[in-house]
Amino acid sequence: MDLPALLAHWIANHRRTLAALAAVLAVISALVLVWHARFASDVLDLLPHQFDSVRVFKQFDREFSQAREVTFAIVDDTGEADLDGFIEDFAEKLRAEPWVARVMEKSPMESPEGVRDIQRLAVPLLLNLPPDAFATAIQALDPAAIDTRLARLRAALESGSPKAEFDLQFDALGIVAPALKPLAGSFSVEQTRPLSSPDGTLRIVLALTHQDDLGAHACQETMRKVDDFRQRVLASWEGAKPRVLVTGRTAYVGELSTKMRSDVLSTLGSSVVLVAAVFWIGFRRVRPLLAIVHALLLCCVVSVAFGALVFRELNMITIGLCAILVGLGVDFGMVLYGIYMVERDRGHSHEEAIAAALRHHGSGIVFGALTTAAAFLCLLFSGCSGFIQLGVLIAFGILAAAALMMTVFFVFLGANHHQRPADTLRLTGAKFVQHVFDHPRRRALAGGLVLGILALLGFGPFGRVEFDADPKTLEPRHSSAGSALREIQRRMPTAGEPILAVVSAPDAESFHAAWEKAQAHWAALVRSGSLKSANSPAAFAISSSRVETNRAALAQLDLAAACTALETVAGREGFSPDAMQPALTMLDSLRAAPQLDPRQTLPPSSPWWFVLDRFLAQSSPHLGVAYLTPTQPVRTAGPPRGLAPPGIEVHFSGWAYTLAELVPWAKTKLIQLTAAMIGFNVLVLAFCFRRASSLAILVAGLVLSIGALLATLKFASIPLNLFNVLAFPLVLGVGVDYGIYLVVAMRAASPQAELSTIFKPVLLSGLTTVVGFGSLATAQNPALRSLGTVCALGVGWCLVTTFFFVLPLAVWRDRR
Amino acid sequence: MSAADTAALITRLQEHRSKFPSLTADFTEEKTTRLLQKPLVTSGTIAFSAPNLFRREIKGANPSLTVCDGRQLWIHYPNFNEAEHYTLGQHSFFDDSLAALTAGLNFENIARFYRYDAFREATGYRLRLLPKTSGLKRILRELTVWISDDFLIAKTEATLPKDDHVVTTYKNQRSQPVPASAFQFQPAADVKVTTPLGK
Repeated sequence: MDLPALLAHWIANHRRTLAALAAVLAVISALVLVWHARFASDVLDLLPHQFDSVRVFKQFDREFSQAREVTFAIVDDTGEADLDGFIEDFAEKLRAEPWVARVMEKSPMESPEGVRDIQRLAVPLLLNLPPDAFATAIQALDPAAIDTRLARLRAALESGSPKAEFDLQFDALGIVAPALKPLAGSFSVEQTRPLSSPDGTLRIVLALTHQDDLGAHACQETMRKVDDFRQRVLASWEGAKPRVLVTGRTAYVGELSTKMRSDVLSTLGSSVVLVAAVFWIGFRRVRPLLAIVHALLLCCVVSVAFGALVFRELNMITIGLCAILVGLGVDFGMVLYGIYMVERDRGHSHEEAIAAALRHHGSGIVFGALTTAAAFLCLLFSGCSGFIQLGVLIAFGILAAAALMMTVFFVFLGANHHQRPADTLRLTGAKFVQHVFDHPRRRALAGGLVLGILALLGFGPFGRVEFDADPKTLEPRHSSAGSALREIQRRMPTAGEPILAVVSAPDAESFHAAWEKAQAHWAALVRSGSLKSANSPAAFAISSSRVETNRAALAQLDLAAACTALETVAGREGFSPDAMQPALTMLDSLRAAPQLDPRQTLPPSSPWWFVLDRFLAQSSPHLGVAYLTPTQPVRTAGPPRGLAPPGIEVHFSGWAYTLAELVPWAKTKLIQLTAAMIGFNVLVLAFCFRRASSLAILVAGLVLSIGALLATLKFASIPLNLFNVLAFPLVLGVGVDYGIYLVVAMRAASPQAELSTIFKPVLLSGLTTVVGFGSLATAQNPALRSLGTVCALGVGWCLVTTFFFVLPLAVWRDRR
Repeated sequence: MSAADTAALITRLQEHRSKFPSLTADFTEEKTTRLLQKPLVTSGTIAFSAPNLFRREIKGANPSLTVCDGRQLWIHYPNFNEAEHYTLGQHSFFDDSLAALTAGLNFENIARFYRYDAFREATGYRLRLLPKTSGLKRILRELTVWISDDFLIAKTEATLPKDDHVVTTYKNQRSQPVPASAFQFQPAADVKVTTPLGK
């Protein structure tokens, strides 16, 4: 008894055992999914980690607090809402939420807490001044200088000067302003954290959450609280209600991860429905349809469980696995069922028909599964974790699909069989083949001409395939976080996409030196118009040597005399003791050993944290980031000319910057993977056919298919992006199969009869693959959607090329 | 006063301002601020021309001149040879505050900025204005305006945040045209000009 017969015997006689094994496999896989499956919804996880900009972006996400911030955009288009009142109420209630650590709704300099805390920040900043500037600043602490300043402020107050009133509250001694001067040269709060649109219709409220975990579940949980809060605060607000939009990393990840789950179900569901519809059109039978769907679902569950075990986290491209597997795996079932049905129609038993199907096409299926798996494993060379994961899982899934279709499918199929009347599709196929055999030259030339024109349009300099590097291409469809971000960017041009410049140093002194040099370099670029703005933590980078020098100078001053002078002159000029309190506190801080780390001087609720955390890393004291706004959007890879300060190791990143850097990589990978796949195909075809003309016909068919695909992309304005470039090698890997079936059939004793027989399975296989990929177009996820669209188009063109070019050309060749 | 009477009073005040768009007066201001142990008393003259031109001159040992031509506002301190320059139309907060304070005196757009009550008094009326928006509330808690029977502003009392108070009494009011040059200011070359709001 040969292997197919042995296997058929087992399947036919141990149906319940095999069904139970399949059920156990399904349950184990389901349990693995429940316990182990995690979705990595961060887009950064998809990008190739060998790029510095990607690594830096991940470090930025991890180290700087924006990853834990929720950005609320309060919008009033009508002008009827009291935005000031609403913001005040909103911020007050937000502060009371247990999941919120702190809130910023106005510039630190506009809030009483911010003005209070600036006095605390001023002490380390004063000691960090260049020694000559420090010496000038502390001249204000001379008793005579205090006398002069307070007398003048009193006189200015009598003159009605609002500035004098501000100075008395903020800087009675006159040393806070010089201490803060480096801040103005280092960053602008309005540019770093713009909180109001120029037209006043949009206001920003920032909330730092207590969210420690940056994962998808934690983000979803935070967003549930955010939505609940938003509803409550809007419900309680009397009067015209503004719109409250939410964005930020938490909002994006929460939204993406939620949509990923629905994408798994929607793409799998639509794929199964569409494939089932194609199967029904082809075979008009319910039982085999149910059997094939069960086998496919089992295959999907097993493959995803395998992925969950191997990779722990499944990324957003991999979730398209099921839909692709359904499209590809159904081919095996249809081919096997086609033979099985013919055998049963001939009067053979269930077991004999299974054995015949396995004998005729078992080795072909194994070979096909291995070649397709190998094709997908080419993605291991993509250098991108998202593609690698997809490649490995589809390779595994295809092998699992082959194994399940050759076993479990027949278990689900059952032993009953009823003969059906004539098969219309098969007859149509036979007529088509007859027509091709009658006029092979005419058909080949016509097909070649039409497809050649399309290929010429595709490869030639007629229009161009757009490559979309817009961060929007990474957003799910109807993304509310994305819409909120664009609304903010539209109304607040200063909130545009910056280039991140990260500098790390081993110690405080070199950190200070690096930032001072970098800030000077970028400030010069801003002055020359090469940069729109540069905001850096230079002012917060404290130099220990400067502090030491300045402390020595401070020790020469009699600060006790300054205190006495302040109290005496204040009394003489009629100032209230309360008005002088901040100045006295400042003097006390200078007399004591002041805290030099600006972050150690602030209370947890201070709005200045939103500024400090934006520039300085949380875990590393000597890691900082600057925000550089170029005058022109970043479109080319690498930092704009002259951006890198000489002699300093700066790592650049940012969304636009990273995407611009990845575009050449994606184009190179497209060429490399496509070339690798063509090479692989040539090797396989050469091994299969050992005939140059067959190889040439198939390769010509693939070239025409890719050309037609490019023409479609050009004229239908379907852009390529970082993710759907993957489609080209996939199309080549999958699309070549149809040509192989036909060329193999041409080698049969009766090619026309053989071609008439396989016309239907090949057509149905192609259609199911097209709808399998096409079902990805229903996904919310843009990467998946665009990948599915391009793959479906590509496989569709491969199918057209197979029937209208490869087949007639092969027939014509044999005639000649 | 009833709502209808109050509305009628506001209409009459607006009509009066339309009829006499310009005025000059002398004033005395008493400012109680938490910064000083004793109230600060100043006096001077004011000239106003609807809708938004004004000139305010403080006299005495520490004089100052505030001039607004509707586009820019200057405060000149002759003793210090310094001037502050504010450009209107660039800072909505500053513009709204100025418009609201002006509305409390010329009664145009008063409903845009304030909720108000009117009271009949022995020698005229008292209007109590409460800011509507939070932005305005940050600089003014309440403004009370005393108006004579012939619709001249007799006194104002502004209650500021942190309990600062400014009481201003007006006398010698004359509803007469004020030359446009009174609302212009050009600092001398040696005057040090600062722009506290940046522009």
